[in-house]
Amino acid sequence: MERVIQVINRMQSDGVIENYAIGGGIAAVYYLEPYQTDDLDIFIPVSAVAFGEAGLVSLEPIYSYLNSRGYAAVKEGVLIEDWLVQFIPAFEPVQDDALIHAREVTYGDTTTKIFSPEYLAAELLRSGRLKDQVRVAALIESGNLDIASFHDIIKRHGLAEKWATFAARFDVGE
Amino acid sequence: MESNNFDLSKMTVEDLFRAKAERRKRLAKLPFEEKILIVKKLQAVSRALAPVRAANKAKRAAGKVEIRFKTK
Repeated sequence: MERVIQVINRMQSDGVIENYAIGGGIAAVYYLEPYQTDDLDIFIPVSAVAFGEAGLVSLEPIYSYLNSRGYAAVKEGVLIEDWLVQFIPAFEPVQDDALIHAREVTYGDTTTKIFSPEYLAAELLRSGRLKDQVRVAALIESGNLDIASFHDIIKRHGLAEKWATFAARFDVGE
Repeated sequence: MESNNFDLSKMTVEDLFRAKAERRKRLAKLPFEEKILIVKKLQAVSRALAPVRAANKAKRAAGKVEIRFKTK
């Protein structure tokens, strides 16, 4: 994993991406107990994405940079060392905000950035799959979450309705 | 739940959930690097089981799964 982070940091210092943060399952593992997750989700600013003539999104600048370093595209990501890395452009305002407010953490001797627990929970709530909702519940239960800050994010990003549905389903006080 | 007073016959469902919650909390406190090592091990187990799961899924889809009950 450290080598993967070093590759992504290098990609940033080479100007391919101006910023990034780890989100998704691995970010949840940072705050919670480890569980199986297959890929590493790297959120990137939309500026790193190329747009085709028909307005189609392309990760070509990232893929070609990594390909030139021997990392091939596999499924919906790129295999870097032994991790399937998915680059996710932060099209959603909550994702973009999460990138801006990401926390700096270290892995071994390498620095990286990871979604804060509040933004991670908000993004998982927005995503809304059952497994995402289970992680939101786990983050709340873990005590790692600043609830006031989390509710502020929910309000600012129009997630109040999703929160109400979640709170009813998981019997969480609003 | 202390391991030295572990008694399966006296264990309740509440004990089980409490033990699981304690285990989750203990694992959550591990350093990130150790957690990632566990994730990698879980991925390896999942990869090893994938062909078996696929075969079972194919059997279920073809209706070839028999559930046998053993009576005396």
